[in-house]
Amino acid sequence: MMHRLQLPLTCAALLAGVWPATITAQVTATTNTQSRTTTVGVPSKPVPTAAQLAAAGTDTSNWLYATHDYSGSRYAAIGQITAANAARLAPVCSFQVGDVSTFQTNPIVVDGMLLITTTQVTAALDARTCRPKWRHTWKAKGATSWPQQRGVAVKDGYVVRGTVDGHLLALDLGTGKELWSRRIADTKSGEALTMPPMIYEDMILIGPAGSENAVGGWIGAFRLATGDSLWRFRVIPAKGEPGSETWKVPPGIVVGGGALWTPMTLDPKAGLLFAATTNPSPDLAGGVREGDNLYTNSVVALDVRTGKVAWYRQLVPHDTHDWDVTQVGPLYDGTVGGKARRLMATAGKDGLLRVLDRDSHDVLFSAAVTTRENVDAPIVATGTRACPGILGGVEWNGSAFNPGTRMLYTPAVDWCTTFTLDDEIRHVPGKNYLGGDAKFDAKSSGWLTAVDAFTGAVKWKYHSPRPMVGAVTTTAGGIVMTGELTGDFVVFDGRTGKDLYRFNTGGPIGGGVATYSLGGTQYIAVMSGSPSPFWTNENPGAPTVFVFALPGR
Amino acid sequence: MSRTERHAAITVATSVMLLFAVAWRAPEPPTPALYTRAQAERGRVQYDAQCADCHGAKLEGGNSTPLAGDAFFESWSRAELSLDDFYYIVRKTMPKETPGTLTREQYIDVVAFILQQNGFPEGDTELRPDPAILKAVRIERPAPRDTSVLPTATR
Repeated sequence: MMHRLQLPLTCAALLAGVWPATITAQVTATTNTQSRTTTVGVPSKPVPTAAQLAAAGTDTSNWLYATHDYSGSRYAAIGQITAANAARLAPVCSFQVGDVSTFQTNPIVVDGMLLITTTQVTAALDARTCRPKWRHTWKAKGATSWPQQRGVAVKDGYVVRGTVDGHLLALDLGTGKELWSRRIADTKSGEALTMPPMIYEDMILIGPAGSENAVGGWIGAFRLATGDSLWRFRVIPAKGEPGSETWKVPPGIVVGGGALWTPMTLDPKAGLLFAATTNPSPDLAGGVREGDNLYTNSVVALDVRTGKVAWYRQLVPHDTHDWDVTQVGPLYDGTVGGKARRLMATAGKDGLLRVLDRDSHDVLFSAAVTTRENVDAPIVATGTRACPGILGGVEWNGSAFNPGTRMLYTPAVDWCTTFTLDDEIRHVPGKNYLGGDAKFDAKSSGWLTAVDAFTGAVKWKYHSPRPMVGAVTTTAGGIVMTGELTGDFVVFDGRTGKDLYRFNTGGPIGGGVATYSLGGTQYIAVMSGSPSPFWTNENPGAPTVFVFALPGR
Repeated sequence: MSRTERHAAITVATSVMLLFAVAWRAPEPPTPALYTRAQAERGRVQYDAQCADCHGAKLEGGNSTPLAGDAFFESWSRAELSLDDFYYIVRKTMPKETPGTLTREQYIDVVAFILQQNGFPEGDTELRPDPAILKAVRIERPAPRDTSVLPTATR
């Protein structure tokens, strides 16, 4: 249709001997995914600063990154709420976002404001009263992809997020007004911006999801003030590049994968950005992509200023179960095997929590956090039941690390699947490309597993009647907080796993849990609402924020 | 008229003719009627039971991708995609937790319902899961009804 309308204009322009600039610009706008769509504005409230972000790990009044800080600790050094008093917690306020959307947002707290997202809405609330301060609604400008949205990143007054139609969007922290937007992802090819970005120095760091759609994953850096592209790392190497020899693909077969959908971590001292990459595709039909399929299902360490690979560790080579690596944190230091080390906890949909040495890149130990059965059996046309299933293991929320209890707390999904290989492997551009089927067991459940962060010993486990996909947050008060798909916000004793407090939010919880101290009171913000229809049953819920504190504080 | 002027006049006339020739296009052929109302109604029953939770009661895509309107055509109205591709994706990947568990007839009924909701005209023949038929159909926004055949009085 577009060509039919454009042709007469183009011919007329040629006959007139000119090429109208406006037509050229329109063509550019529809074909150049880097096109600017708005003018560039300047923020009114330039916080948090680079120094604040660098010190986010010890900041008690803010929650400045999706997973709290660059190391992805999911730990706040606040001790007002403890195992001794958590039973007295009570809700302080709530906020209903009011739109029909999935709700997986990781809230950010900065300067007394709580920032949340749904598919279309970005909202700022008073972090103590839940009263709205501003609200921005994005209207999609083209093809949309997956609607999941996992939150914003903030720096220097910019609030940055991805949109459902592939734009990077920057809002003013003070007013919620749009500063700029850029289309950076090709939603027609199946790219989807669902992950929370990270901001470091003047760079926004983000990549698209969409491995199931056979996109070629990438990690990109974009200038904070304008959205200009600075560098891009292709997770699937081009022919002839290092790693391309790990893909043996028959002629005519489309392959892809290695996309991103979860928060990254950063070691500012080393200048290294860590990303968890996802499965190769076609997901189940490994026969058409023999080899390890680099850099899928890997921990990838990039020079944050250039996007060049510093090192990588592939954890699930030649995957045929959609067992993404999803987590590249927390980063922490400590002694393992008698040696002081720089460590990384990493986990994924294969149901294993692993701890890596960030210098040797060796896996020092691992612990199963879900049922693991039949993991090595090949996927065949008659069906292979395996655990974790295609939506099992550690999903979009990963481990929290508590330096006091010296434990990692990991949420996970137990949901086995029968994988079946198709006779026909058919690629429909931009659409699911599995090369087979995955049928879920009728029963599913979840686990919260506490593991010694320096030995891998399992210290305690909590078994939930539903998959556990909500964020886990731990504190200097020795507590561990999370939400369940049952709707319960739950507080555990971090040392024993004892259930200290429960509150039914009325809808499933698969989003973030942030804690912060303002005016001498420790608050806990919990995101309640359907993570996506996969995870809900009779009660889908609606995007709602709940804030808790101890009464009388 | 000098020779140069005559050449110029011919050039201009040719250009104008060319311009009109290129700018003129035949009326859109009517979008073929691919399914029946009864089939779409059967599809609606399946859709409400299997699809509406994610894709929305009005196919607006509340918690998943939209199946109607601009977003649907943005996604599917492409030269390399046919109705057979759409049918393939529906039957291979849906319903999300139990893909492939409907019969082929049930899947094609759902496709008929989605076509109906996107303005494709109803007809007297049911849509069948026949690749030869489905591959020949592109998912383009249906052409508006040709009003030139209507009596003048109704205009």
